[in-house]
Amino acid sequence: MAQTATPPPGAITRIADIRALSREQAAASLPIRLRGVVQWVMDGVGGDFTLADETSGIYASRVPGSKRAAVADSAGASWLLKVGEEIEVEGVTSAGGYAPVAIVHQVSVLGQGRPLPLRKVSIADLGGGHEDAQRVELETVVVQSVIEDSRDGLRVLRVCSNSGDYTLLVVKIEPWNEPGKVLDAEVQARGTVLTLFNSRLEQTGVRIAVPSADDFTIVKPPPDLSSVPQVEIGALKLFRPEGITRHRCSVEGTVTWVSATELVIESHSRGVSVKSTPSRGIQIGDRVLVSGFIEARQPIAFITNAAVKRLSSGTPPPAATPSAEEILTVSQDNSGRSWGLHRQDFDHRLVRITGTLISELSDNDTNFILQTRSGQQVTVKLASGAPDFSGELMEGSLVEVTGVVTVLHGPGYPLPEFRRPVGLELLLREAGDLQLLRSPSWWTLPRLRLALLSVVAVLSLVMAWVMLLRRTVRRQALRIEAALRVHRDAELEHQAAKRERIRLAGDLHDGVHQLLNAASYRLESVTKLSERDPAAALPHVAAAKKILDRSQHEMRSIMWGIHELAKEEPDFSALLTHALAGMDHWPADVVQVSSQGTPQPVPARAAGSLLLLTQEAVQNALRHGQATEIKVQVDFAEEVLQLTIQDNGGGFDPTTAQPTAQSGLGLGSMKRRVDELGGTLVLTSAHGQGTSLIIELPWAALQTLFPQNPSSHAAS
Amino acid sequence: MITAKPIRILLVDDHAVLRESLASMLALDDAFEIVGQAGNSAEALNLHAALKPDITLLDVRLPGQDGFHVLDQLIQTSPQARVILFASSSLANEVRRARELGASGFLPKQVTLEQLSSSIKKVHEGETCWEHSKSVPQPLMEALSARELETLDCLRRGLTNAQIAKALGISEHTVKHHVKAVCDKLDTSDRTEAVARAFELGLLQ
Repeated sequence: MAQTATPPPGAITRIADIRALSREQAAASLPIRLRGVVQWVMDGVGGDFTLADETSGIYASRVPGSKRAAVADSAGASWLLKVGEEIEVEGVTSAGGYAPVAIVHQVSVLGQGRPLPLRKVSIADLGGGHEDAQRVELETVVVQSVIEDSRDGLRVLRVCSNSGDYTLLVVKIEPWNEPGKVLDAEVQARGTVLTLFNSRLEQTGVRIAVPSADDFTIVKPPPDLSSVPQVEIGALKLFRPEGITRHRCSVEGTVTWVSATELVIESHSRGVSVKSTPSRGIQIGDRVLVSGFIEARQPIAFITNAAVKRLSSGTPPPAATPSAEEILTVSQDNSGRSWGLHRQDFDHRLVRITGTLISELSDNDTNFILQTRSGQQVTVKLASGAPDFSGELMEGSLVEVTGVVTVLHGPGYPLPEFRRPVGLELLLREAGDLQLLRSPSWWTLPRLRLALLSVVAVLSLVMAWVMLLRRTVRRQALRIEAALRVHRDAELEHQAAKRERIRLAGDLHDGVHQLLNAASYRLESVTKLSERDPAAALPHVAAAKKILDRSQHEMRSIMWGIHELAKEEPDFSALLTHALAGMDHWPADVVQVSSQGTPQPVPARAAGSLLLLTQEAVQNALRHGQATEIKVQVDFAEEVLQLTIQDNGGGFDPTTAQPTAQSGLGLGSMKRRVDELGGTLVLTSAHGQGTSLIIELPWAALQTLFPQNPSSHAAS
Repeated sequence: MITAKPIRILLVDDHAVLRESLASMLALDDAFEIVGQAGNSAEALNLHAALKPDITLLDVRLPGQDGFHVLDQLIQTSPQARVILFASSSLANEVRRARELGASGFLPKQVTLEQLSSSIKKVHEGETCWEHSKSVPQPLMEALSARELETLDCLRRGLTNAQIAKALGISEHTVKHHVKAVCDKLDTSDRTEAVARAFELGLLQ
């Protein structure tokens, strides 16, 4: 037999000694040799089990591969352990998951063990963790009964902890088909504590594995649902001398909100949340009787594990319309020193609040924030599967929302436990719960900013464009000005050329033409005389020759004039003398030309115009004024070129003188031409006083008009 | 004929050389006697009053007061005076004007001695003698109306349209019309060029 085998020297033999090991010591695989009774076996082949001796209990795990042979060897018939068997195991220690465990290498079944004494515990004791792997006895009320594992039909019972902490539950009995029998029943159960822990190996809960129906007794069956005491929503967990029942209470109210796991009911201006298993067929507005356990861990008690019975259908109560501040104030007053001043509060009631949407609702958002007129912010939650509000809602919209309000609490004063209402949450039920009262002004801040930005952008663009345009215009204006100047110059030149042509035609007519006529007469005489008296003809031939010589001279003189004028800077006084001398059909010595100052070059085109002007003035003086003395004076002064034509003729009254077909003073035309040259013309005359014509051309004006004249074409 | 009294002629022309040549040419014909020569209007009027010539050969173009002015005065003082106007070119309007003022003839300066002689003699015998200048193409001469020639004359003196209108007693619009016609007929682009062209053609002198 196995017990005859000698334990390895130094092997730990008491379970309590193993549990006393530190985590590091247990991890050192110390040899163990234990004898005890199997308390619990994990389902299935080769499952883990718990072992207990007089000192304590421990979780044991079998090493894969070795255990089967060992069990078979020692037991012979079966390799499955059974609860209650006395066994001896050899193996080593391990740190385990939560507490040290025994790693079993060899198992020897010794036979049926005697029952070990049980410890009676409360649920509160279980939270300490030291009951891990121990067999305990517990008395409690079942608050929930569910099938956890449908394959084995394990029923999991959650039990009431009374302190508010739902700890754990009892398992592993043969299937029950009547959960009503245990729910709310007072039961006594015996089983092994199995600790639940998280990844940090911290205890998160316990389960008590109840091995058989013998270990589970209903001490007191559940009260009939109809006899469950009914309480008001506002008095769920008030002081009672006899203490608060661990059993269910009933609450009647009208459903104001329903979801898959929760419903909210309201009655007599109080509302409460009911956590319930899916209550099929319950609709908003239904009058219901709720029977469940009161849970008050949260600032406001709620009802859990409730059975919901529909009494009648109807409509939900009208929504209250307190302000957000009022909701908070009422809750504050009731929880503070005022000790329930108000008979009602608004927590979990149906209320209607108006406010402005301050966070835009995007497609995926299920909640948004509303700001009431006084500045209180309210978080509004859309029920899951709620209709899509986003399309119509924009930041700044004024909306009216109707829903179940939850008062949120924060740490209070004088102790943090005196919770203080700090905020509101509103649960919406359907699309109708949100009414858009007013769309926001289109001019939201971002839009305003964008608009301002675009205006600024457009403005700067326009300004840039204007500047560009202005520059273009300036450039264009300069170009046009230049073009105009060229055009004006060309026009002036054209006019000057034409006047010069008239002057030349006149010169030719007055001079050469007459001479040629004279020569013709002489030759006529020669012809006449050659027949009867050739000798007498000779003087005529000589005269004709002389005339022709003179014509030639005249022609040459005209040519000189043309060439002189064609020069860039013609000799103006010489030209003037020449022009006036050419008019030799005039009475001799009538015209006297004089010059003053240092002769300066006169631009050819100006010179041509001035020559014609002078000739016309002289002609006028002779023709209309019967002058016998005409003085033409050129003065090359510092600033101006002055040309004076003065006669001793009859004169006239310039204010009344009108041109006639016969007289044709041509004064206007003269003035215009002087204007064109940038000069002034002053005529002074009176009856019997002669006439004086003074033409002044500023050199500066001439320079501007004929800048660096490359060439002049006085004659065409 | 030879024994007949020669025709006494007064020559009026501002161009001394031309006047001398003309005088010497006319002197070759015994029928003529040059009794005086004048270079301007005042001299012409004085000599005419003093000499009472049979014929006065009067240059249209004179310094100061022109030939027409002299003609007008001569006829007014001695209505019987026989005056032949003498010009480089004879324009229709000038010829007409000469007639109106009482001239007996109008001759271009480009005449031959024969033509001149016969013309003077005809006039002396009481006839008239009107000859147009040969230098001016006849069609052009006829093409320009009297009004247009007057307009041309005004243009030559540098008058504006308004001034021409006043001088000729017609509307400015009509003046414009005339100026355009003149320019078109002389095939010139503007008024100044028209004047120059008229000079060159002998339409103006």
